[in-house]
Amino acid sequence: MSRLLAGDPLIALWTVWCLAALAALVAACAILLLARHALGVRRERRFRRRVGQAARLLAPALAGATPAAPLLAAARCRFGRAVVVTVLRRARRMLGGEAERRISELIEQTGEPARLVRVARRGALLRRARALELLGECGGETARRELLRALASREALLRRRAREALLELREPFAVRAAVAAFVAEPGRSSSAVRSFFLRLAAWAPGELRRLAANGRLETRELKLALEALAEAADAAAAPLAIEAVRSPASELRAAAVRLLAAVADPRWTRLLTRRLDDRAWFVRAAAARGLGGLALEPHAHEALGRRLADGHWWVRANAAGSLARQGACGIRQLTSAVRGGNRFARQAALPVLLRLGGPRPGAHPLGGRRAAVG
Amino acid sequence: MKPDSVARAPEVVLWEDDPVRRPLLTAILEGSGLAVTAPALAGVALERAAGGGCRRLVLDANVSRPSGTEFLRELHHRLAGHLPPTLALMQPGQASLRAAVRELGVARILPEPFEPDELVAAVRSLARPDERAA
Amino acid sequence: MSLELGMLVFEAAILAYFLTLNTIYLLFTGLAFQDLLSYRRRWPQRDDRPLLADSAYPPISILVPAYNEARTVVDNVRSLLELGYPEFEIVLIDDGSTDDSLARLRRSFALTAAPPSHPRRLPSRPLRRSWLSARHPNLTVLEKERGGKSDALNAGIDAARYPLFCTIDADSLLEPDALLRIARAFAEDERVVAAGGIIRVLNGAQSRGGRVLRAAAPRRPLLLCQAQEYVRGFLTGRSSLARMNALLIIAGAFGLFRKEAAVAAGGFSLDTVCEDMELVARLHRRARERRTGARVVFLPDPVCWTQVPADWGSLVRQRDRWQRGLLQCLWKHRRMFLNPRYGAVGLVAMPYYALFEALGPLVETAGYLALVALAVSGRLDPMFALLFFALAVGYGLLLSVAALNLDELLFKRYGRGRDLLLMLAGSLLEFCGYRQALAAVRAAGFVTVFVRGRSWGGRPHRLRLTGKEAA
Repeated sequence: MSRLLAGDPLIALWTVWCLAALAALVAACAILLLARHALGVRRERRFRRRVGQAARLLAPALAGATPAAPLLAAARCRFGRAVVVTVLRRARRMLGGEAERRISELIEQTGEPARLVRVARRGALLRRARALELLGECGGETARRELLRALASREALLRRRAREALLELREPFAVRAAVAAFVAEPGRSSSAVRSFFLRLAAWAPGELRRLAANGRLETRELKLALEALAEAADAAAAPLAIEAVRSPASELRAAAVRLLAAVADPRWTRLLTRRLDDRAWFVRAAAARGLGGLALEPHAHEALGRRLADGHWWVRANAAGSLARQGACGIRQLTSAVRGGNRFARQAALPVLLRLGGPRPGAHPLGGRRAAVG
Repeated sequence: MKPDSVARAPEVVLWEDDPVRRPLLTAILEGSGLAVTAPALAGVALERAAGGGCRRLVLDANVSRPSGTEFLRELHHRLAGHLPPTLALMQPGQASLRAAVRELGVARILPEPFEPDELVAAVRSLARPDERAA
Repeated sequence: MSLELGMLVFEAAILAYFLTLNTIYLLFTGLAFQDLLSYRRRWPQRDDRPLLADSAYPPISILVPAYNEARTVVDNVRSLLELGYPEFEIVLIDDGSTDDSLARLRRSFALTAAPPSHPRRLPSRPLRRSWLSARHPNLTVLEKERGGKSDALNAGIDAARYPLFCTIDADSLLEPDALLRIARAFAEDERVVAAGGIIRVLNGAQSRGGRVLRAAAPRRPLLLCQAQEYVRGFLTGRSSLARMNALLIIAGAFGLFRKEAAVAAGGFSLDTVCEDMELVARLHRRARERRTGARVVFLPDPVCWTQVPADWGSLVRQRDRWQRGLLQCLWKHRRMFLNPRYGAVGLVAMPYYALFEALGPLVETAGYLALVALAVSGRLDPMFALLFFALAVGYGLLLSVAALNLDELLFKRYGRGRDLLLMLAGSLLEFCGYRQALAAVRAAGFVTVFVRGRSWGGRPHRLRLTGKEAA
């Protein structure tokens, strides 16, 4: 290099300067790393410790045993607003009814919702979305107003967060507003629908039932709605499931069967048993699994027993598992399957019996040639 | 100094690993006259729950390390399947976790959010077989 | 004069190469920082199980190929059985082990022999038997004739019952929530066909019963250099390529695939050295040719801990294999190279891997050799030496320390400052022989392939006897 640039002290100086700058940059990065680690670890530990202390101080007030105002003032003075708000938000997630309203009022008094409103209105998109999420956890009038306002945001992410946060408020008016905004939302993605329905089923299953019943959901969304209601084991959604079980869409039938199974009401046993003969294997598998949680009559036992020889592995395994949960009668059926002539049934029943301490594998060799399954 | 009613009350073991929820649940239960032990460590909670003095167990099914189901399985193992009457607190939904804790012998599940009175009523409704016979 | 000019051109080319390479890495670091920060904000480190409830997670088959892993296989299966995931099965494929792996598995999990009864859609050596566990309904062990890792994985995919399959090495440990975190990508986006998590170095960490109790930096220099290399490689390189949907590598030690997409693409190739990279390249190629919109993603928080080679011999063999695998894959899919039809894969990933990962070691080794030769002959230009040092070492060191900052800022894996100090030392040590030696090994791999034509230096990847070939 210097052969070309020989004698140019400026270039040499520049090179040395670059090298020194690079070394300084590396050193600064290393110091930053160590300093941030040391401070971060200490700050995190301190915060966690103070949250625990504040929770112990505030617990009697949050439980409604003592007046809240003096304790809240003392806690704020000793631990600061961030710690106190963390305690209040986490307590609010657990408690409902009057206690929840009381905690929302206490959060309002700390000024946290007003601060979050300021964050939610300007700055980076993700920061604003997170502020809306936290507003939902705070509850109260300020949060409700801001979340309703955010429903009209130009950003899809903010609208989605606002809808979900409104559900977290657990107030009928807020829930209805969120549902209306959801229905009006153009181009809903599956993940957004799933996330919204799971929350709606948890906090206001009645609203989700109404939404599913009014026929405005696509098949894909209706399936997600039934799955969310199954997750919440919502017994009142059974009529919806009974209707969906007759649908030509197999995925909808499977979701309906899962819902009826989650409800575990003996009235639907016959319906579930009929689904054991569904043409789609995953509907049969869902029915076979769902019947395990119900006390079954002899005809249902027999139907489950027949599924031990189903062409699809999953159905056989679920049928065997469900029979094992039926007690002595189911175990008798599994034992006779092991001794019977059908290789599929033997293969499905034997591991289940072994788990229950049944026959030794050597006594009933599985044998048979390899065959393709479903 | 605890009032007499508290001293005579059956003991409730509470297993909750969250530093905010633990004191709050303790305050709610003690406020209704129940004597509560709420250890901060899972090992201690297991020992208390497996000990003869535990008449009711309240646990958060969503605890981590060990998880709610792992805790119940270990308790099952120690007590040879004779779990004390147990109340599990759960988030709404979570169908498969609910089924799992039911199969592990949990007597009652209380979904969140709940009112303090609901929690107290649920705990009081748990009764040991000997208490039921009496 | 012409010699002088030739040397000048050579020196300038070496410096330009390092400047370009490290500037690209700097760009990757910047992109990764932006991407990881937004990922962390989207998914804060709180428990998200109540948000995405159980039914939202698709069931997963975990495929664990194993060959002569008797020492660790039982513990690892136990740790997998403890994973926090709503519905999964474990399919362990014993690839003709000659030790007592199978006997140990049979004893520990009460395995019962059953004839294989699943359809065979992918090529693999014949199965001898499949074993079902009497204690764990979700554990299946396949006993098959020896055929190598790809062969074992294909047999596992055929036996898998669920729509997603996860590949992990028999001696790797998954964090309990790793599956939940990686499956989120599939639950959120139907177009995702493959997802990779981050691989971290297990050597040095404290683990018991198949679980990592405390993350720690390894003490030995060779391991420390690899730990640092993994952090930089995964956090900066992969996340930025994934952002462009141009990620070509998903580590075989921990990857999640949509079964139907993998089967439609023909499963793992039996004649390649790096079967994981080849499958991902094929998935990309298929997606672009059929316009399916399929995506391959990288997620930085599902963590798999893995043992890395602890001695130079194993490390050299591993890197030689990776280099041959890379060249093989690039050659096999050369049609995508600079072809706009293949989007970012053809225009960014393929040229990047060809120029900087395949050819790079040759240039790098030439630079180091030239430096030594010039120094020995007394013709070393101090200015060239200084610039070379700045661009090859100083710039590289800056990128390594930046990656550590990124890791600490977002994931805070190390609880003790001492571990971070060790990792910083690892960044420095990396440039004191480690990097140069590996560049030479990879350059030799390149030359070997050329000397032997495109035979790729022999057999496809066999599961190892000992020593680790992880990422």
